[in-house]
Amino acid sequence: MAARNSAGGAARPGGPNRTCQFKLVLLGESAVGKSSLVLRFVKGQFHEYQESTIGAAFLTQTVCLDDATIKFEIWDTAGQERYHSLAPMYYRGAQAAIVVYDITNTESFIKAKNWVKELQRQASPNIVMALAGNKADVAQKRTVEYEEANAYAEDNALLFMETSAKTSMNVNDIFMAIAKKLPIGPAQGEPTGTVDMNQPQQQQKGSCCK
Amino acid sequence: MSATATISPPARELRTSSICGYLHRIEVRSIGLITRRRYWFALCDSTPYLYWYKDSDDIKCIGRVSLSGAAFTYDPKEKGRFEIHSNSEVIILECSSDKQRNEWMKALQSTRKRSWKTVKSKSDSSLDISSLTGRNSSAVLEEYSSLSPVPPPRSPKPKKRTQFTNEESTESTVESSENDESVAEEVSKIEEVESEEPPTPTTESSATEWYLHPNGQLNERSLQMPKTIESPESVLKRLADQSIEAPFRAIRRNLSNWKGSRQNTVDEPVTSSRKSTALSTYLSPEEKVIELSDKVSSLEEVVDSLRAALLLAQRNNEALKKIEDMGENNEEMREYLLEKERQVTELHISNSINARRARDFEDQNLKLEDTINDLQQSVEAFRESLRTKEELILRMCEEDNRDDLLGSMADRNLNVLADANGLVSDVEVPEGILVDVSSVDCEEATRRVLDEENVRDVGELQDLVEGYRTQNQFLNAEIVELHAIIQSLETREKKLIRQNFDLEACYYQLKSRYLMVLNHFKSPTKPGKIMEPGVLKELLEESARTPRESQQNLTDQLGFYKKDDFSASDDLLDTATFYMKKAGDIVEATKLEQSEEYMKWLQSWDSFLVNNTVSRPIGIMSSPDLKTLIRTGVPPAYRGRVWKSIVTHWVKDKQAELGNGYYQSMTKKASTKKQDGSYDAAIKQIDLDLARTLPTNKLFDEPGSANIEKLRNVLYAFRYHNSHVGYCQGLNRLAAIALLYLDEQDAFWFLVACVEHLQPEGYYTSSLIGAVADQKVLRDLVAEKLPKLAAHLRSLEVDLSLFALCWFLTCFVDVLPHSIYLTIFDAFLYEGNKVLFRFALALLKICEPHVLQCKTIGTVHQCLSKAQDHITDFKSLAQVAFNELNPFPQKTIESKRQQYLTQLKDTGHCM
Repeated sequence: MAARNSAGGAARPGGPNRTCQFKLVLLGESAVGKSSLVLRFVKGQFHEYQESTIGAAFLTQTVCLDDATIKFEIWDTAGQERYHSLAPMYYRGAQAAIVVYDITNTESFIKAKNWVKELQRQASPNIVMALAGNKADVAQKRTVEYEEANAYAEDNALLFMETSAKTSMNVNDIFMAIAKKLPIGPAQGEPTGTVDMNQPQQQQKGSCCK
Repeated sequence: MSATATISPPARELRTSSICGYLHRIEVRSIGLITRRRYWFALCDSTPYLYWYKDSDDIKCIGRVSLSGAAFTYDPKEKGRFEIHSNSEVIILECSSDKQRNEWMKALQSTRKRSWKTVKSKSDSSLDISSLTGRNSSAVLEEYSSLSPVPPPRSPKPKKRTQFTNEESTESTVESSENDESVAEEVSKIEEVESEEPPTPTTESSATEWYLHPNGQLNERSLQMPKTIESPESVLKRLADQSIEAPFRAIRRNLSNWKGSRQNTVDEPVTSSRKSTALSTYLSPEEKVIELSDKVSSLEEVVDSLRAALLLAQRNNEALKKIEDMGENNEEMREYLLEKERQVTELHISNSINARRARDFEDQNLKLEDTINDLQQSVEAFRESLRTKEELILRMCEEDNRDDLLGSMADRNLNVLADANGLVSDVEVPEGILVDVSSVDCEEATRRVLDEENVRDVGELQDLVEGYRTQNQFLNAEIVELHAIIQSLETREKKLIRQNFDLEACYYQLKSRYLMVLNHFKSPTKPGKIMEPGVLKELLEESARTPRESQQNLTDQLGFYKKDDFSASDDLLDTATFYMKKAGDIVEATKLEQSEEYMKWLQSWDSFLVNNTVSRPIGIMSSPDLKTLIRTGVPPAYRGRVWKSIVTHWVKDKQAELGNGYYQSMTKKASTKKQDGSYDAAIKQIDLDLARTLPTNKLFDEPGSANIEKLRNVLYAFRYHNSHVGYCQGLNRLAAIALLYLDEQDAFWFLVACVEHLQPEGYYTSSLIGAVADQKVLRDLVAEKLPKLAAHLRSLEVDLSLFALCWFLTCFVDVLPHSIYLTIFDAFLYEGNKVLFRFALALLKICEPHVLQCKTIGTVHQCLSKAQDHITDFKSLAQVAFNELNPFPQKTIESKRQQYLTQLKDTGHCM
């Protein structure tokens, strides 16, 4: 896994770097591929029929940047409308969010816009948001144009990429892009929830959580 | 006999041999002490056991008896009583009438037959004992093999034949009416024959033959001269011989009785009609009656000894089993088998003879009855004349006296004498007539009484004969059935032996090859011991191949893919460790399944289900005993039945209200709506989720998988059934779990039970308010039961509901392995939502020490997201959930829930 991460980022093992933890939440309509994106990013796996998520799923993944190691605490939420009311519980205090839509499904893009609005209104003000147009591998069935989504992202200052969990296109890239945008180090001010793993009082990594 | 033995009209299910009712069990405790106890007996053909309970509602049985190798018998003289012989145990039962007895016997036989068939088909298909169902069958098999592995009959022995001819000759020669003498004569003759002909040498006849047709007729081949058979010498065999003889001797004695009586009946009517004295004629019917009862008792003896022989045969079977177990040399076993076979043949022949005798006997009886009537008439005639004569004599005496008196007076008056004489003659006639009339009345009354007595006696005897006849038929059928069992046992045994040989050969082959390899490495330099280079490679290849090939079933019985973390590694040691671990697991699992505890658990379930199936075909009732039982988990083999019963228990009122075919009407509605194009969000979501349900299960993992269509129907139907809930992600899990064990319609009702009865209101509705409220209840309960954990979580600002919400919505389907969550479902279905709190707290309690070690929110999150990794088996989890967390009052949960629900409604529901 380390090998893959270093390929994705620019890891410098042994170099002077800090480990920072960030909470990232994935939002979007049902069956757009949120869980698949996470699974591809975290485990490098892809299942054509990924089990639907109830409530939310929690996963972690670490990426290495030039000067820091970023540990993502990923909350992969359920997409069905009735789980929407639970979403605040998951994006509360999140430093990053990926709003996912399905490029073959216009409705999911509309829904994504709603999520962006909600995050802008209710989430942390300095949250890093990314828009992911997933299922880019079936571009021939596309109903949401790249330009349209890109324009929307630019208007709202979102990171934007079209991704494919199936082919793993842009999957690591979008997480890396977010990692790069996240505030690291004391120069930018210690963000809430960020933990410096190298500090002596936090050496106890928790023997239960290997 | 008290008339308390009642039987409820046999509650018949789809299967015909299910029967239950109160019976008396008669036990002989010690010498002379007999107890009669009334129990509720239940028999259900899903299991080859007869169970009895204290009462019809009971869950725990008092006892059970295996029917799979049992023999049944009864004595027609004892009303309603029958016996079950199994494993050298004799159970005597009594029901209130012979008719009931017949029903029970029929049910018992059919259960035995069915169990045999299933065992046979199972053993035919596979001998896998690692699975639970296999476990059942193997348990049964054990009992079978301990019971009646008696080989089928082959050639009748010459000895037998001589005895029969001997009988025939006696029949024709015995003329004496003194039965005792003839019996003595006969017995001595038989003894002579026996001493003259010691057990004839026997040889194995390869063809397995049946010398009696099921209808009781002799097979043609049974008349052929038997082949010589080798002499069997074991003690057991001799013992068996002796006891087998007993019934034949009794039959012969009976036969001679017969001959005597037949002659009597032919002779006596003739002589009696000619008899000059009434008394002697009168005696003869009485004699007949005595004779008849003698015969009956001798017949009884026959039956008794037959029964004893049956018992003995069974005991022998056990002995045979022992021999089998010891795995001694086959020769001895075969001899023994042969011997058994011979005995069964003998029994058969004797039985058919017996049946013939019984028929003759009946004819005889009819004749006798006629004779008795004739005799009665003659007695009557004689009496009439006798009385008339007596009267006349009396009159004459009186007249004489009067004559004397008159004579003394006559001296004085001769005229008076003449008058008196005329008077006497005048008086005589009317008086005589009068006497006659009165005597006839008297006669008639007496005759009627006598007739009645006779008729009653004869009637009773006839009934008895009829009883014996049916008994005989029953025993014949019994023998035919037992024979079938024996045959299948024999084939199975052969198959097993063959298999065993194959395995052994395989084993030795492997062993020698590996020894060779070991030798090679031990002394690689010594010449002559160096292998050809290909051998080692070949061996390695083989070892890699064999397990792969045997892994044909990549899924377990429920269709879940088996986790096989092992990826082919080049390192031999890794491979070896992997397989060692795997072998260890298999051995462990087998051990567990053979443990006494496990067997007890299975038995208690069997016991409950048998009574529940036959006594209460619909649903179950609530009882603390059942609760305890269900908390131990339902054996997978029974889960479908139990789940269906529990679901029915919850929804039966609703089902009654909505009527039959409700589910079908709902699915129909869904399909018409879909055709109309009214495609709402719920339906769309269902379609999206179908292939995304239980992806680790073969039955659900792809859009074309076996259960996907069913799942669609169930979810569609539920969407139209409960439009308030419609479809909520998570329900697909519940429905899929239900479909693992139930059919479509029952799975639909399962879902209805879960959503509308077991979970509180609002769990799956559009706002999920019920589930959210329960998260708050859980938080309070954690604070109460696990204060340390609660404090730790609070200090790190960890929200437990981030994780626990889906535990409650899907009943742990998403977090625990299926072997555990299915068992949680068992308890959940019976007890409802409270169980989820118990298990959630148990899960938290088990991982509490690990969570307490985590010092940051991130590590706690990680730890909680892997909480399930600390759960190894259901038992330890259940121990915490149901014991360590007590007390656990429903009331607290309920009141807290209400409190939070109101709170959430007021604040507009936001967590």
